[in-house]
Amino acid sequence: MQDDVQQKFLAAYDAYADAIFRHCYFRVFVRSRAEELTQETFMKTWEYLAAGKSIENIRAFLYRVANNLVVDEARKHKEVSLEILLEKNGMAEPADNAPENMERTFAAKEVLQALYALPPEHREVLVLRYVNDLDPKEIGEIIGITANAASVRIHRALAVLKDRANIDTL
Amino acid sequence: MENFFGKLNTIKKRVYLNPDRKAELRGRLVQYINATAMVRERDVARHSMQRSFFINPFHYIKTMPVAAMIAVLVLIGGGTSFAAEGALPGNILYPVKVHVNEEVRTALTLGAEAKADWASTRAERRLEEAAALAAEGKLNRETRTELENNFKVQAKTATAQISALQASGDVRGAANVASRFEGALHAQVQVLGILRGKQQAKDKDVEPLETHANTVLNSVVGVRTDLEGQIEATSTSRGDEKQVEVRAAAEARLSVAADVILKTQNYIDLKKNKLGEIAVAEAEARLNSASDLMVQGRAKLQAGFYGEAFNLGNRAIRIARETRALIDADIHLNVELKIKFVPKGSAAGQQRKTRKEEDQTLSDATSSREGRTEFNNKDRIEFIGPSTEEDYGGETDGGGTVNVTSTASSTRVHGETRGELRLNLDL
Repeated sequence: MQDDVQQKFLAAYDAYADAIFRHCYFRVFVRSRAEELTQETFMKTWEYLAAGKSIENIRAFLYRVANNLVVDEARKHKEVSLEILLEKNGMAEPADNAPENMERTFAAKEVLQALYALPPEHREVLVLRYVNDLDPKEIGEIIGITANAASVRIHRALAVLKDRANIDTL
Repeated sequence: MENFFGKLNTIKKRVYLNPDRKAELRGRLVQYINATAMVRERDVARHSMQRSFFINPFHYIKTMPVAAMIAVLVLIGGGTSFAAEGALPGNILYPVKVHVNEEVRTALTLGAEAKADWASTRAERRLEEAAALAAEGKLNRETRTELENNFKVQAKTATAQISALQASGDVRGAANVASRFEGALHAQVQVLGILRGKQQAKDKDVEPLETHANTVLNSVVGVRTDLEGQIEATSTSRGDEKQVEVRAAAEARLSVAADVILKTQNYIDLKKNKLGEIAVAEAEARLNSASDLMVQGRAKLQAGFYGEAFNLGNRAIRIARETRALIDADIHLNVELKIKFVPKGSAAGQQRKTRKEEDQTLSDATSSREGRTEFNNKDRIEFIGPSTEEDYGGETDGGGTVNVTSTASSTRVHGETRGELRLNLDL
């Protein structure tokens, strides 16, 4: 019995660890922290399962746990400048001076800067929508709102993004 | 900014978990799963167990000095907790050692050969523990039965895994494990033989364990011989790829032999002042025969007899490790070992010196440890326990302090003792 749950859990890890990691990365911007959050997400999910509770949609559950962890994290830490965060990733300086790399790194920084400039609730939905490719229904399930409400939030977030980050093609 | 979403798409494809890291985290999860399953069954305060035992290495690894790194690696890398490692049955931390540390390590061990090897190590530990208790006169019927049963089960697992290795086609891997297991069993059987009869009461004697161990030993010798025969047979068969493989394996084995022999020689030198003259002479003679075997192995390698070279390598390793196990037993158990190996020309009637001095470091290591250990530059760290596995040694690269505290609190539940282990690393 236990084995069955364990197998399903590990299968979920194999399937979703990358996606959860990606989600955390675009929320906290530091790779190592994203790894830790990913690990914690799965540990907490296991704790839930180990307590004998069942999970219907494990993917949504994982995202929900990860989201909560990220939100808790933000509450505890002061806002640090993105420069400093990116430096932790080794992104302050490009690894080598090849033009393509510089361009890529520059583009990456631009995008991350744009995301960083968003308030947390907006970043949340945009990452779920455009990084994790979830649809409004799934997003609603994760956050705990209706699919419609999720759509509305996404639109609002896009408006803020356009405004703050000076994005012209939307 | 132009084309925001295009850029985002490009970037997000480059953000993923490194496969190695992914596997590593998975391993940790499995470890966590096994530990929480154990913990649930034991009703120990779960929360403190989880948070304290699974120290997040991400925080520490970047900032700590080498000395502390070694301590942490012992604690995390092998999944062992220093404080519980030396525990014997009867000690509060013994359940932690067997049911948590060893299980964690089982979970962390990857690869069929490594698993089989670890399984045999577990079985050996039970014999070492019995010997340690018997040497102190503390073996009682209860603990003896517990150790007997655990040994039986674990030895069975080990031999089953060796067979599985063989069946899966990894004959050399099976031979490696069988050879190592044989050496360790042989050493333990000798030690138990000497301790036999030391106890007044029959039901507290080590004899049943010695008998079991002997039975397993004989069976493992059979398996090993069989495997070696297979290896020699296949290596002379046609097929260049096979030849290249066996040759490489033989070279590797002989190189390991050289390494183990050197380490054992260093170990003898290190422990010289704790051993009687005869013991040292006998150990060195044994080691010489291991060296001879290695040399023979090299000769066979040159001559193109790769299978034989491989087997000789394993034999050399086995004897060197056995030597070390016997030295350890001699020192730790404070027992005069009449080592059966008699080098030619030794004075048969020579009396052995008795050693009255208490070995402080070793007795510390065999009981739960609490305290502050300071390391100076170039100090050698050795974690010595009753087990005879490879030492977790190393050299420090700078001074540092490792403060290991363990608070073991226990609650009695239905006559059993359960322990809770908290580890603080002050780095």
